[in-house]
Amino acid sequence: MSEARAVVIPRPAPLPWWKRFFLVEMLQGMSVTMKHYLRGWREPFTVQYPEERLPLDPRFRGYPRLRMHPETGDELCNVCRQCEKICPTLCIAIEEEPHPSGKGRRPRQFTVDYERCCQCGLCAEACGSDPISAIYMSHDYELADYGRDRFRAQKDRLYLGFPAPPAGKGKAPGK
Amino acid sequence: MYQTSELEINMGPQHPATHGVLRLVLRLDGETIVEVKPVIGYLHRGVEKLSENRGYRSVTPLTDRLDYCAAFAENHSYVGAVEKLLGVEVPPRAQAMRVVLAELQRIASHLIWLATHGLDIGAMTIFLYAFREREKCLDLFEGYCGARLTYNALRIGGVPQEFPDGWTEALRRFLDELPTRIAQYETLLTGNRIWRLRTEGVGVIDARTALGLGLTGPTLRGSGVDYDVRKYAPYENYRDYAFDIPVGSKGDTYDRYLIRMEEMRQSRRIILQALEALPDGPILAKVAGRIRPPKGAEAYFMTESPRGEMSVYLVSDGTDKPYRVRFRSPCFNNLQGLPTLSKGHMVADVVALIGSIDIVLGCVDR
Amino acid sequence: MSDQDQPKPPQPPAPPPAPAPAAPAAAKEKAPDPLAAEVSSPALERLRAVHGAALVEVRFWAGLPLVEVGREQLVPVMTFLRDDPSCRFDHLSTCFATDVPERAEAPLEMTYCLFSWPTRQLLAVKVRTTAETPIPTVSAIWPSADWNEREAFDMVGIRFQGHPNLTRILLPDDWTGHPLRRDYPLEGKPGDHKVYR
Ligand code: SF4
Ligand code: SF4
Repeated sequence: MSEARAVVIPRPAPLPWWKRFFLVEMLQGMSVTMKHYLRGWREPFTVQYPEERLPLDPRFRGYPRLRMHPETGDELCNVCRQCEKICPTLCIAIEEEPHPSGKGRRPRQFTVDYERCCQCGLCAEACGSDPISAIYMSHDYELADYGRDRFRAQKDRLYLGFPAPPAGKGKAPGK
Repeated sequence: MYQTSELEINMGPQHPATHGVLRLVLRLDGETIVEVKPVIGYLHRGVEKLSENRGYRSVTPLTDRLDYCAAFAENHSYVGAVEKLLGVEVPPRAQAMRVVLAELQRIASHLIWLATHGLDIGAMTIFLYAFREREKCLDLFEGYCGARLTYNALRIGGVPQEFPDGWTEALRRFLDELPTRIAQYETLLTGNRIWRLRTEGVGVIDARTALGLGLTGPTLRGSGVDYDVRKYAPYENYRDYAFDIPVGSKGDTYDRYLIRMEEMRQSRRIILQALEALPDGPILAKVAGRIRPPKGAEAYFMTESPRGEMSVYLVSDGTDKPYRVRFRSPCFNNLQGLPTLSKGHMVADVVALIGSIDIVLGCVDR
Repeated sequence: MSDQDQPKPPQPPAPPPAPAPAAPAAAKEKAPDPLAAEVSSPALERLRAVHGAALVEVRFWAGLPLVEVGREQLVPVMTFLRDDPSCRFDHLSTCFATDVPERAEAPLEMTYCLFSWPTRQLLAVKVRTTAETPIPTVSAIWPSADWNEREAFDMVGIRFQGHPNLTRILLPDDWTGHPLRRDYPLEGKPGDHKVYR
């Protein structure tokens, strides 16, 4: 058990006369700047953005997307609406229909309003689908577009990288 | 012979030195300030109203948007308030992890303060250097929770995930180089004649006045009051760590600068202690899936955010939505002291003072 | 996130009895919830001893004493809390307004969160009022109440007697209505905001 101590920060003494000329600080400051300048030649800190990109972290939260069952290629989402409930910006809208196999439901249309989505990741956490969450945080973060209506991502865009919903086999995207 | 008349001018709302959209109505006598009237509300988003209409779990992302330079601190006080309301005990490992992240957030936030404060006063170089280090903090946060600014990094009952592999090593590497970096900033500023002339004796406020005005955080500690929530109302496991609370002796802008520099070092010290003694165990306490605190429950939870005392008051009415959420924002209360601080100074000093009370307008307007 | 067992029974405790206008200070709440247990608070003891008649209701939640005082006694009680050596509530942490329309006789409530760092105590003081009846300002006791009370006026519409500058603070001066009232629609009244959406 230790207590936090309060300490009074010492203030530097008033400036001596020879410091009253800018020269000393100027030289000190210049030496720091020069060091960084020289280092910058060797290992630049900036990247040239659209051409060069920083690697994204595996946990990076971009815009949410949907995915399909890694083995069967079927839609994972069973319309439990947990994501809809927890979303703080109310940007998820799901229309449901009975699953063609007769068991359960599946989304007829799934809309995420990317304009409102704040990428908080709560939907992916709350998602109750088995074996992995149907909605997941992709690594997509660039979203410039011409017009507000284009931000309403529907199934075609949410299932990006997967074949059209009813047919074909899907794969879990590399995460 | 000469006659001066008072002049009223507007500074802001779109002014680079106001750190957002703050409008100051200045009444000037020549270049001396007679009165400052802050006009706020340009960034008001009604977070308190919004929170009343969301479930308890869905409010955390909203708190990110209050103080966007220190989103973790806001998450922390909100989540802590809900835990207090429910009587949930956070597991020790989650507590230590929260401390690590909170202190990292303090470093990141003080770095951005240093950058912008320096820029306001005219020290351009420091801006780039401090941002470079802050970038590393943000990288660490990205590695932990996946976002760089609006973290949503906490859940009611603990933390959502473990530190990823290699994260603590990366954090240690960052902490290893931090002291040399801070020393570099200090070379550029602490003894610098221009810096000292611009900050020493500017905005002196004595402890009584500062306390009465509700100033908290480094702004209050500059006046020599050691009020720090981490010490006086310890939350998480701050009791277990040894750290200093720097306080100033004069209460001017220079003191507040020195305090924040020292706080970065102390935060580093706390993180190192916390990493050393990171307990094992669960990271999330058991909390009911649907959070419905009983009717009449009220809780107040205070945390020490980088800007001061950030606290949340929660009132429950027995439903799954909070009945009333009050965000006590340090910036709102600190900005209240600006008229007192800036009386009698020059217009150029107002810029230094806004920087030294370290406000974020998202937090002021909520 | 899907844990079933809850650390405590989900039944809400008996709601606090409607406050009688001048209930005795000793009226303690009988709630089954352990969180509502009384905690020892030297400041509260002193307050009971000196200003017992001013206290309308005292209850506790999670270690936080919630004290309701009558409107008229607010300023003496607050001054006492600040100056008494065993209270020393130097720091008005925050104060805010709440709208509780179910309580028709006094729907608006002002809560003051006081923290005393020398004695490390936290206390919440409440005052109830109506939209028409002003409550005395405490901005003379703690200058920090100034803006907070303006915000309470702006958001909920409580009026403060003796406030130096009671104008809207966050909303524009020509705004009508008080957004944190319960009957105020979340997305605003039509015409409230003229921005494109
Ligand atoms: S990331 Fe957050 S805001 Fe976006 S859809 Fe999911 S829950 Fe909603
Ligand atoms: S939570 Fe998952 S399974 Fe449930 S509706 Fe949303 S995406 Fe579908």
